[in-house]
Amino acid sequence: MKLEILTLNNFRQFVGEQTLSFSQDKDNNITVIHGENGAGKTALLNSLYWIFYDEIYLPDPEKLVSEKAIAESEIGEEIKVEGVLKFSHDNKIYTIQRRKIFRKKGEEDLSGELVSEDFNLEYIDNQGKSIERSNPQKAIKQILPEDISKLFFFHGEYINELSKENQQDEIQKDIKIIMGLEILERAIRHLETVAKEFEKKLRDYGDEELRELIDEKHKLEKELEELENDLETIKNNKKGIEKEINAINEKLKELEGAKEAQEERERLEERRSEINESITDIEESLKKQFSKKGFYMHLNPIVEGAKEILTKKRERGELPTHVKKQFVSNLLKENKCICGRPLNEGEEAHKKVREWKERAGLEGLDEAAFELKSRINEFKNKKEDFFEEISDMLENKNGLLDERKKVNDKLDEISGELSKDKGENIKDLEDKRKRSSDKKDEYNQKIGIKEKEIEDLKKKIDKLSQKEEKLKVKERKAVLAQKRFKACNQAKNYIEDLFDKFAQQVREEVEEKVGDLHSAFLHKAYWAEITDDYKLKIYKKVGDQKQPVGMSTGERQIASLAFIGGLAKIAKERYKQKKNAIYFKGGIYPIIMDSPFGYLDVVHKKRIAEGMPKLAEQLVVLVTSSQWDGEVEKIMTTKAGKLYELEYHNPNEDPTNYEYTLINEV
Amino acid sequence: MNDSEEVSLEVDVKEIVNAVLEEEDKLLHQERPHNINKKIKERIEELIK
Repeated sequence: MKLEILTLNNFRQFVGEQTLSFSQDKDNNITVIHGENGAGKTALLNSLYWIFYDEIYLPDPEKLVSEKAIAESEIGEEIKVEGVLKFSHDNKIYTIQRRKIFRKKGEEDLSGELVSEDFNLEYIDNQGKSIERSNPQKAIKQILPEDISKLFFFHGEYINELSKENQQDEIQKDIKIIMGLEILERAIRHLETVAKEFEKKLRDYGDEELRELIDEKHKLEKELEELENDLETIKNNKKGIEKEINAINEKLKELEGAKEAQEERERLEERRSEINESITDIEESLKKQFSKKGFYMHLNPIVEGAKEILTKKRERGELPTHVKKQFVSNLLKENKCICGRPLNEGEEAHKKVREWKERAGLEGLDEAAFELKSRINEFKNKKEDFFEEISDMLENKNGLLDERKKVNDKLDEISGELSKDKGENIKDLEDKRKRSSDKKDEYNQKIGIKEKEIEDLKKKIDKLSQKEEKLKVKERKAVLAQKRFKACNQAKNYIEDLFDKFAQQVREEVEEKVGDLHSAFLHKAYWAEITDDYKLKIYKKVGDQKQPVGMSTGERQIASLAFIGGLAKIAKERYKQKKNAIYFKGGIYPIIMDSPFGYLDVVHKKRIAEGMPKLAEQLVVLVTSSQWDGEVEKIMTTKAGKLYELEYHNPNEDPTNYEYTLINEV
Repeated sequence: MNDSEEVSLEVDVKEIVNAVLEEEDKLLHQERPHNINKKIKERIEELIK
């Protein structure tokens, strides 16, 4: 997909008709749009969401019509809000158009009343004929699924969030989307539904016991569904609260009196996350060590017992065994003693020597005793090593617990200071933040409880499923329904395995690409990994050990950019190779970035600016003038095919008192 | 019934998986939506008679 021309008409602050033509040049693939804070960069980005999906992620999303346009209209007059985008995709030129007509209801009305709306998508075929798609929304979902658009058309906040500690769900979701794994997810979901239908038939044709069992299972499955829905709601609520907290954090950072404290708090919170993670790692290692070597702890009585037996044997003269059984056997076989006397069966000498054979040590007893002795020492050493390891871990854990306590105390201190601040704004924000944080803790607790309930319920359902599987059904129809039900479940399990296999493969592939980009962007010797549980983590080497790195906001931004760039690269490669067609067809997508240089220092601004053109085939960068200074301007101007400026008209400075923005080519 | 007396499907699970994924792929590339559950059900009924 390549963007060509965007035309907006009275959309939000873009008054009248405004056109923007995206760079098509292969070597100069960047379109740069300058705009100061509030000039409409995010609104411009949102115009694409609106055109494609009728969605807006801005305050007052219902306010579509330009305030200036509606203010200057007569009461009853109709105002057209329109967005038209021309783009190429799969060798076809598409034009997508969304239009809404509003009528001004009264003198004070600045939103208008929706009169009609229209949405269409057409393309030019090989013969140059224009063809209109009958189901444009569905067609758009195939060309650019909404989830993918969020990945490639993103604003600064998204880049900052992506590489935070708790974003693994987002990372996993993005990877799944971009690699087309959701076809497998859908298949799993649909097979579950179909399996239920066959199971209903099995119930109807089965005997009383089977009916009761299936009813019980369905009851539990319903409970499970409700619990999972509850969990999803709580998780969404938590996300909402986190967004609120982030928004407050950003506001606090903008306030002079709170900036330093807020930055310190973010640093401490980051450290707390790292500590928590290290504690979890230690606890996991402790569990593993105990299950692997924990038996050393109980070895003492056994070792002491073995020692006692050996001592007694020694006391009885059985150890060391001076005479070997085999040696005595050979004498008896040869009928000759070592002293030269004959050993004839039935004679006294033969009898005496045979008694020696009985008294001689058990076969290999000496070796065993020797082995046991060295093993006892070895166990002793291993036990000591084990205790040492455990005590190191516990010491480490205690150190971390102490540090966490100190971090928590400092965080409380910061919060207390901000709450006492004389500036009403800071105090209010901090109080609001505290309430939101408490709410977040509450959600975390609820999530833990629900997850436990879900786990228990799943175990119960599994048991019933196993019982159901074993029940013999006699009716022919029931047998058939049982086979089909089983087929659904087996196919579902098979696809689940397939999904896991692909997800792992894809994770590794993404990790490699992200790692390459990250190393190119960051000047430190850190590297990026996507962990098995889909956390985007940055590591450094300390001695021979790899250590997770707490990222600054700028470093997080770099990690996120590397992640998005890595996904875009894979999507492009897959699209060109046309491999694994059924699971993932890939695609070429433009990347549109709102404020990508927000928190970067000069060194990294330069590195990102240099690496950016390689991130995707087409790039649109929305920046403020402060982000566009020095090196960035120098490097990117050479790679920019088109340059635009958002000319913002401040209502306070404009005689009409309405804000509006014009898009000007530079 | 003991564990060894499992219900035999008399069909390879891969055949069912392919049929399901084929229907999913069709759904993804057709403009007109179709009832995917019904289609999958029909395909399984065809395979297991």
